[in-house]
Parts: sequence; C-alpha cells; structure tokens
Amino acid sequence: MRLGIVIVTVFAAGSAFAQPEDPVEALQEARRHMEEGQSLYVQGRYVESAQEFLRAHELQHYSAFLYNAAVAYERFGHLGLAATNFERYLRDDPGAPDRAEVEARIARLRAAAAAQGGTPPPTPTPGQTAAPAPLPEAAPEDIKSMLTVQTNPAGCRIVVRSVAGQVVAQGTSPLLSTVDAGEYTLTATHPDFRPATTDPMPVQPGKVYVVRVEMAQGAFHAFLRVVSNVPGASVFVDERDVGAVGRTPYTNPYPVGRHEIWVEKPGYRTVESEVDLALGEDLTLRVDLQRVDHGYLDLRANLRGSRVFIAERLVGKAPIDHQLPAGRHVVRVESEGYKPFEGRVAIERGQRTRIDVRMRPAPSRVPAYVSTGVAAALLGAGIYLGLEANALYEDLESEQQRGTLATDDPRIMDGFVYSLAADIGFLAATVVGGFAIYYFLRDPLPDSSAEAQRPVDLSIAPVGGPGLAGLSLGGTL
Amino acid sequence: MRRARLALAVLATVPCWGCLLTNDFFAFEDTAPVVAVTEPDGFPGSGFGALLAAYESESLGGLLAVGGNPGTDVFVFQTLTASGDLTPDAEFSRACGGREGCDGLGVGGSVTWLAAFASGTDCLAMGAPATDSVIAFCIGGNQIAQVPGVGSVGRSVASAVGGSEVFVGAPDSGEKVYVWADRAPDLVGVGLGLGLEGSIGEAVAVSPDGALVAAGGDGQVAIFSWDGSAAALVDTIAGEPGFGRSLAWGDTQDDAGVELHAGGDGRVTILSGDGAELGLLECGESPCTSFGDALATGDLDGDGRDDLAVGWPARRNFAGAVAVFSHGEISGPVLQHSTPTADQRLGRSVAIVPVGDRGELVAGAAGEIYYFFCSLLPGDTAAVGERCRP
Repeated sequence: MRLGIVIVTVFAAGSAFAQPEDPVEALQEARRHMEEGQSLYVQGRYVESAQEFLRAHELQHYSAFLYNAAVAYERFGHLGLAATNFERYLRDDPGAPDRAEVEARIARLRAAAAAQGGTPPPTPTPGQTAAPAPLPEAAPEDIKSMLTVQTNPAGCRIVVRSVAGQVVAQGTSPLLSTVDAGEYTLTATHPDFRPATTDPMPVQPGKVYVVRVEMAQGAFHAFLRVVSNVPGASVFVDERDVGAVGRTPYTNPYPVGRHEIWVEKPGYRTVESEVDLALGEDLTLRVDLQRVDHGYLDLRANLRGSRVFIAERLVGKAPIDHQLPAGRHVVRVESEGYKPFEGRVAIERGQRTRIDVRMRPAPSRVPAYVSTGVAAALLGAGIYLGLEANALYEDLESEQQRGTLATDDPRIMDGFVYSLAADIGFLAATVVGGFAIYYFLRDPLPDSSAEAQRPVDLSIAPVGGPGLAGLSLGGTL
Repeated sequence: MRRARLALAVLATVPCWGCLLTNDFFAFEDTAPVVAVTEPDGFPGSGFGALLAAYESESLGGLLAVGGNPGTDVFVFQTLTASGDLTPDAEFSRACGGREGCDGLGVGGSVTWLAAFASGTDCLAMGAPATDSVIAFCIGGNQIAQVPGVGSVGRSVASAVGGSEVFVGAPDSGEKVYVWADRAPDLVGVGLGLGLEGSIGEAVAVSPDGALVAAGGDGQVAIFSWDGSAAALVDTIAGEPGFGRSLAWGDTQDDAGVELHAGGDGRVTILSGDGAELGLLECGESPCTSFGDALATGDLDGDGRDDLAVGWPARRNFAGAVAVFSHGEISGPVLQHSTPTADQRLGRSVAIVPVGDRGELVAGAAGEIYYFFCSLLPGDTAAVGERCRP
C-alpha cells in the first residue's frame, strides 16, 4: 500500500572537477565522481577508481565513498591504504550495520600488510591495469551506493529496510545513508501525516539515489492532470476565489473524492467540470477550450480624446478598449478640425484587435465658405437683375404690341444693362463658384488613416464568478 | 460635393438666360414702332425738332425738314426713297449750313415746301424773322428775299400743295401777310385793311388748292381768298388768347370743302372755309395747356381722307403727346413716348410724312423727332418684333 508519493531520482553523470558551492550541484558532482569510480573499478583500474571515490568524498562526506575507495585499494593490493579508508569509513559512520565485518576486514588487511613488509605494490601508469597479487575477480556488488531521502515536510522518521526486513538505515529526513546493492523499502512517518511506505526499490552498486516523499495529511491521494487544447490556461480547483492553482498542462496530487475544476483562459469560454478521483488514480482531464463570441477593439489615436463611433453610435473617446461582437464593424473617429476616419475592422473571437488611427488636420474651409457666399451673392444679384431685365422685357414687349414703344426708350438700355449685369453676375458667380469648389476640394494632406495590427489573444481579461473581481494575466502576444 | 455639383449645374445654365435677354433688348431698338431720331451731329444751336415740314417729291421720295429755334438751321431727312425704302433717319442735306448767303440770316423760324420756285424744283422755303428774310433752297437754284425793317418777316411760312408761292407771316407788320411768288423776287405785302386789333401772322396756312389762306395770332384768325394776285377777306374769327397760333387746312370733315383747324388756346377749332365754326376738339383732360400748339393733316389710316394730328407738348409736366383724330372723329388715341419724361415736349411740332398711299405721324420733341409708325388707328398696329410700316 502506498501511503505517500515517492519520487526516486538517479542523478545523471557529470565530469566537472571544480568544487561547486551549490549543495545540489555538489551532490551531483560527487555523484559523477562516484559513477566514474564505479566504472573504473569494473574496468580493473582500481587506483584511479579509488581516487575518484575519494574526490567524491571531498565533495560530499558520505562514508560510502571511503568504503568504496578502501575496496578499490584492497583490490589493487594497497592493503594499508585499504585498511586506512575502512577505518575512515567507520569513523564517519560509527553506527554502520556492517561495523563488525569491517573491523575484521581491517584486522585482516593490517596483518596481510605486515606480512608484505610494508612494500606496496608498484604504482601503475595511468590507464594501466595492474593486479600484483592473485585476487578474486572484481565484483561491482562490492561497491556501496548512496541513498538520500527527502520528505515534504522535512523531519519525518525514515526507516530503510532490506527486502528481508532488516533495517539497514534509519533517521530523520533528510537522511543520508550508505547501502549495498540490493532492494529496499522506505518508511516515512510523521505525527501529523499519514505514514508512507515505498514499494521495494532496487539499488545498484555505485549509484546515488534521491528519494522525495510527499507526505499526505489525513487523506489518500491521487494524481490529477489537466490538459487543454490551448496551453497556459488557468486551472482552479474546488475554490475558485483563492486563485488559480496552476496552468495547463497541470499535474498535482489531490485527495481522492470529487473535485470541481474550472479552466479559464482569456478569450475563451470558461470550462467547468467535476472529477471523481479514486485512490491512486492518475486521471487526465482533457479540456477543449472554445473561444468566446466577442473580441476587443483596442483603438488608439494620435489625437487623444477623438470621438469613436461604432455603427454610428458614440462609444467613447480614444484610446478605448471596447468589447464588440465578433465580426466586421464600421468604425468612425472624429475630432474637431481633423478629418474623420472611417473604416471597417474585423473583430476576431476572443482576440483583441488593435487599430492605430492617425488623425490628420482638415484643411480650412473658410475660403470655400467665403467663396460660396460671394458666389451666392453674385448669383442672387444675377437672378435679381435677370428678373428685373425680364420684367422690363415684358413691359417693352407690351409697349411694342401697343405700338408705342420708342427706339430710344430708356428701358431698352436699362434692360440691356440689367441683362448684361445679370450675365456678369452669373459669370462671376460661376467663376467664384469654381473657386469655392476648388477650395472645397483642395486638400493638401492625405486623409486620416489607420493601421490595424494582427489580432492577438486577450492578455488581460476579467476573471472570477459572482462577487469576484480581478485580473488574470496570461495569453500570448 | 453634392451641393457643389448642384451649384455648378445651376451656374452653367442660367447665363444663357441673360444672354438671350441681352440680344433681345438689342432687337427692340431695331423693331420698336416709334422711331426716334436724335439731333444730328453738327446741328447748330438748340431746339432740334421745333419745326417739321413733310413733302413728297416725285424724284426724291419722302422728305422731312426738321428745324430748330430761330437762328439755327434746317436738316432734311429722306424718309422714303424713290424706290419705296423707308429710311426715317437718313440725313439728306443740311439746308443752310455752309451755303453762301445763308449763314448769318438766322433761318429756323419757319419752314415749308414748294414743288417749284423760280427756276428750281423741290424747294424748301425757310423764314428768318431775325433778319426779315425768307430763303428758298431748290434743286436748281436758291433765292433770298428780304423786307428789312419789319422785324418779324418769316415768323411763319406756308404754301399750297404743289404750289409755287410762299405766304409769309410777319406779326409785327400790322395786318400784313407777305406773298413771295416766283415771278416776283421780292416779298409783296398784302394789306388786308381789316382794322384788326393786334397782329396776325404768327401762323399762316394755305388750303391744298391754294385758294384760301389763313393767318392767325393773338386770339384771332383771318381767312382770305387768293386768286394768285389779290386777296379778299372772307372772315375773321376771334377766340381765346392764343387762338390762331397754329393753323392747318385739311378735309377732316364730311362736308363739301376743306376745313381750317385753328389751335393755340388749348383746344382745336374746326372752321369751314367761310369761317363758320364746325366744331371743337378738346383734350379730354385737365389741364389742356398747349393742346393744339401744333397741327397737321393727312391720311394716317389709309382711308383716303384726312386725319388730324394735334400736338400737345405741355401735357403732363411737358412730357408731351400727340392726339390723333381720325376723319370726322372728335376723340382719338393720344400718342406719347413709351417712357414719358418731363420736358420731353413731344408734340411741339407735328407732320405727316407720305409713305406710299398714306402718311405716318412725325412729332417733334426737345432735341428729337419721333416717327409713330403705329398710330393705333384702325389697321395701324404693330406686330411683335415688327414695325407697322412699310
């Protein structure tokens, strides 16, 4: 029965010789030396193997390194150095379970060394494998391994047992232990947590193992994984108002039972679902996020305060960030003295479309209005004079019909002058009207324009439920 | 933009209206029925239009003599060419200007036409009262006759239609009317011996057949007969002050003879050849001052009978008018300028110029003369854009 979550990590090999200051880095470096020593040992390069073990010990004072170095010297025939490192081993680990065996082994090595007369075997050149005395074939199983047990929380009581049930190490986490190759089970206990026991865990010789134990408080756990078609969505579990517990893809142990889950991402509809976790279950909840039906128009103008109309309705003054239904919209931006801008913008679902509007000054229409006024006055004068001339013409025509019209009748000249003046008025009105049109059309500056940026996913969107308020940051740009 | 386009369209279309009107106004000057002839360049002095005398020459066509105040000159217009073309403002000649023996005489007091005089034909006789002279300009020769010392010889002149004698009024001569006959180069005073108070000779008129001569002035008119060598008083008619300052013979009434029309007192008195009053023509409004100051007879409506034109220069603040009385009528249209203006004095002189088988009215005004080609008489109205005549 698994009572907790155990993560076993075997550090990867490394080759740096510098002494790292970071404890984790130091542990990794020590582990690399140990691995190298173990490899050299298997190759029969015992002296170099022993040196690697000792370098590992310099980085991490684990007794296993000394024990392994002693074994390597012993295999090479450096019986004295072997005995010395065994003695250091016992000093570092006075409670070693194999203390009696090691003490007997030291005595045997000292005696053998005395019989040799203190002559050490010849020092081999690097890479040379030398065995001065017939020794049993090197066995990796002779090499001890390192076992580190870390718990969350720290301070748990750790007991390491062999598969035979023999306690090979125990203590308070974090626990550092030297173990022989074999299979072991770990038990972690804490007054405030449920005890946790691992399954039998194989330990190979010359390895460094780090075991992390997540202690459960009062309930059994299961694994919950939440993945979504759009990564980075916020995941809320059980209590939405306390905030998101993570982002998809999200993995975390949860107590067994029913859990309410919300998955949110700006620009997408919130997905709410329930899961029922069974003990030890590794459940993956796949969420298909769908974009919302609206988007946002982020309109900015070089002229702050410009009035923004959407579908002929005033929605605010630039800059605005306005929610709109997805689709095409007619946007108009106006400001006194500036050319209005009008254009269509496509609002994408769940995305923010930014438009940068550049308002340009409208040319002055005063000359146009003045010209128009003058043209209108001239036209009016022309019409008036034309009507007067017309009336005179009718009078003269009537006089002529009566036979009383004289060739020197002053109305003939008056009518001629009036009609001529009317013509001049019309002509002048035409000319001035032409100027008016010119001034109306004259526009040295280009029209106000806008540049639409590519729609982006919403980066800021309101979150929460009833009674909640806040912002969730996320999305991509 | 829409407004601008609309304005441009309107502006593009309306000028045509004015152009058409302008052209049409020019046309009025060519087609108006009343043709004005202004004082010609070089006319000396003032009063152009104060005198009018119409004449129909067999060789020259219609001629109109237009004079001014005494001491000016007389201009002749050929109103109708021999071929029948109407040329109302065509200057034909200047009677006196630059002619030897004429300058300085002061012509312009009166004017009349003679068919022949002495060795000449188509003669224009002009009185020059300032020099007590009468000048006859003829095609073929000119003559001058004077009665020095009288002081008003030539105030009025008259001759019969086709006649060759000129009767000359001289109101300061007492009771005399002078006769200038082509066979006698000097003026011959005809002493009437009537014992009239005042003077006669402000106006003289000769009946178409030359048998009757009327002389008027100072409120009286004398009618006498003339047999070519001697005169015999027929009658004297007294009237209101001014009566007799204008005289015209013509057959305007349906009776056996011609009638004498006498004006000057604000009305026109129609007298028979023996001096009987046949009727009065009045202005029909008040005041009638100057109604009848100028008289002319002729056929204005083409009915073969004489009609009467009565000048009325003081009408309505001296804008003036001419009243036309058809044969036998006692009322008729009053012709005036289409735009009467003060001191225009239309009707200060009247004449009826021959145009074919009828005549057209000409009226003098202040510095102008007017041809009334449409007198509004029956059959004499204008169509639009056309003159009544020819």
